[in-house]
Amino acid sequence: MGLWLGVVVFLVGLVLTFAGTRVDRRVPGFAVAAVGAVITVAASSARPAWPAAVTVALTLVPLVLVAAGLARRLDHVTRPGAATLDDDPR
Amino acid sequence: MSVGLVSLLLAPLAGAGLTLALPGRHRAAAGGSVAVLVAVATLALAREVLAIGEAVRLVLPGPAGVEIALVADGLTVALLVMAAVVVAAVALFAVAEDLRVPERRHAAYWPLLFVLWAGLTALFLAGDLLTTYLMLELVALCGALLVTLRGDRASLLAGTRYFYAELAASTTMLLGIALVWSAAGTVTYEGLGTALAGDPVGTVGLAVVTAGLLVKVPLAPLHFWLPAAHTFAPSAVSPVLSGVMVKGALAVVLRLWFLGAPEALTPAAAQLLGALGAVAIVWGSVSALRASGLKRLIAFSTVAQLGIVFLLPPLVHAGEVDGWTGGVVLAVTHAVAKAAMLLAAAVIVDSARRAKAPTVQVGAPHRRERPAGTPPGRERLAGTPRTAPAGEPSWPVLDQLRGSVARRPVAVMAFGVAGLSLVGLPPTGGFVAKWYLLLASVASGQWWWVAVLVGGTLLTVGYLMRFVRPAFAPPPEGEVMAQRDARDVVALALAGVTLLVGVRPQPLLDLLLVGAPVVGG
Repeated sequence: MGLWLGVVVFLVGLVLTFAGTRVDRRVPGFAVAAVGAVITVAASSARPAWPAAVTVALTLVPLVLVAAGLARRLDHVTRPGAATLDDDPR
Repeated sequence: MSVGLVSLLLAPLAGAGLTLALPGRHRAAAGGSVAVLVAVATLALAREVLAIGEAVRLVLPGPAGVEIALVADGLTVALLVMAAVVVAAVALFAVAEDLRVPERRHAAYWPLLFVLWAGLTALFLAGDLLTTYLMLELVALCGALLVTLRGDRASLLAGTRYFYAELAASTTMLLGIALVWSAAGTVTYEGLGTALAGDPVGTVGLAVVTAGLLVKVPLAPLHFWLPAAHTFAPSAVSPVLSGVMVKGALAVVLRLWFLGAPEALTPAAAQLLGALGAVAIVWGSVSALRASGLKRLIAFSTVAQLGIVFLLPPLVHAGEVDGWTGGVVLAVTHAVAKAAMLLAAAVIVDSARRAKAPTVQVGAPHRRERPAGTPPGRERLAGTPRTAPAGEPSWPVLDQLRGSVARRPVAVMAFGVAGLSLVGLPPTGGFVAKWYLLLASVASGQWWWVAVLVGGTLLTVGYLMRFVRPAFAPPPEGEVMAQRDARDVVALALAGVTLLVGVRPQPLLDLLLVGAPVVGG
């Protein structure tokens, strides 16, 4: 049950992450996806999976923070909110 | 041996701590020294594994009774040596650049490089999927931050696109790992084969893990993030990204399907992976033929060359151990050749830009223009595009590299030797790799892969000629001729490693048989 709940939460987060184009709007979606991934891992084993789930969660937190940091840095070099992931620099 | 393995994990971390603690002017010297020491230790480990002739396994205690498995077999050690050689060369290049242009120094470069190296080492050694996932995250994080070090719009965008692609791939992979874990009750590669035994949830999990990995490799058409990230990364970062980092996910694909759960790989799935490889060869090569700048051309070449490595699955699945040897040797030699090529390209482009700058006088190629009020080190060269930060080489179109042979003969020679390996001409390591892939294709009766290999080789010649033609053209009159510095020598020495593998391939071939997959269809 928990496994599939995690899968659904992850997929919702992934859709939120890649819906729209603005970089700064993607961070919350990724945070939801990360929560879904942690739930999935926590529910994936009959053996206690919490050490793995905690480890995964601890690694995902800095990733969300870095995602937010990169969005802010992009805002500094472009107009706030103007940067999109569709821009492919050449 | 166990001490050696753990030391290899800890030494780059020590390098990260050391370079973080030291003041800026001493970082490069310390970083370069540690990198060379780690590379020597890695070569010693390879020699030891070769002498023993069997894989070394080590289980480290983790939190709450969870065990962390490390495996040093032929595949692992070959990739560790590959990473060590490339990162050590890049470190020496960075030292040379630091001495020449200290204003390009960035405080985060060395710590990030060493943490990335430690992550790659643990990734190659990982004997279970969870450790693999965690290390892929660490490596992606460091890689994306390294791409953004220049701090301009282009590199920030490139790094952000790269970061999000990696995040999506990693979390997808994590989902697959959870499915595999729930089905198999284990995440160690060793236990997967028997534990899954045709379980549909486990098989879906493996497919989901593979989908995430194919974004990370990346295999066309999932390579959307690669060209910009590899193009706009600093000169002393691109070779690590393009040569080594892409092999991290590739190693996981190989370990998962050929050493972990080979029974789960159906003939159709193996052929599909090979077909995706063929698509990557064509896609990457055609994009390289259309690329305007040298670094972007090389980035697309990485997409194409990774496609060739993906001819391994159908060949090994058909029972050809030569397919394994050829594929892994190609991965290793591509890393070395591509890194040498990118180092040489950085020097060639830098030199061309300086030669074109109107403020640069003949005989004083390093003088730069500094407008009033601009702090030292932040001056801009005339003709620098908006995307290029101060003090970093920009990426002129290929035609602007006319006369590179006369201007930078050693760097062009390094580019040429690396190019021979990419094409697969003797006596380079690339030739050895492609020879084994051809042998396996013919022996297994899969002639269509011979056609793909030959076609890929011709396309490689085609896109490399796009640089060779202007490089051999006469330079504009009155230019400074025949310069070189330590960076050219580092690039040439690294390119020379591909010749070494070509002339004496036996140690690498013997190493790859240690713990090689038991083939037989």
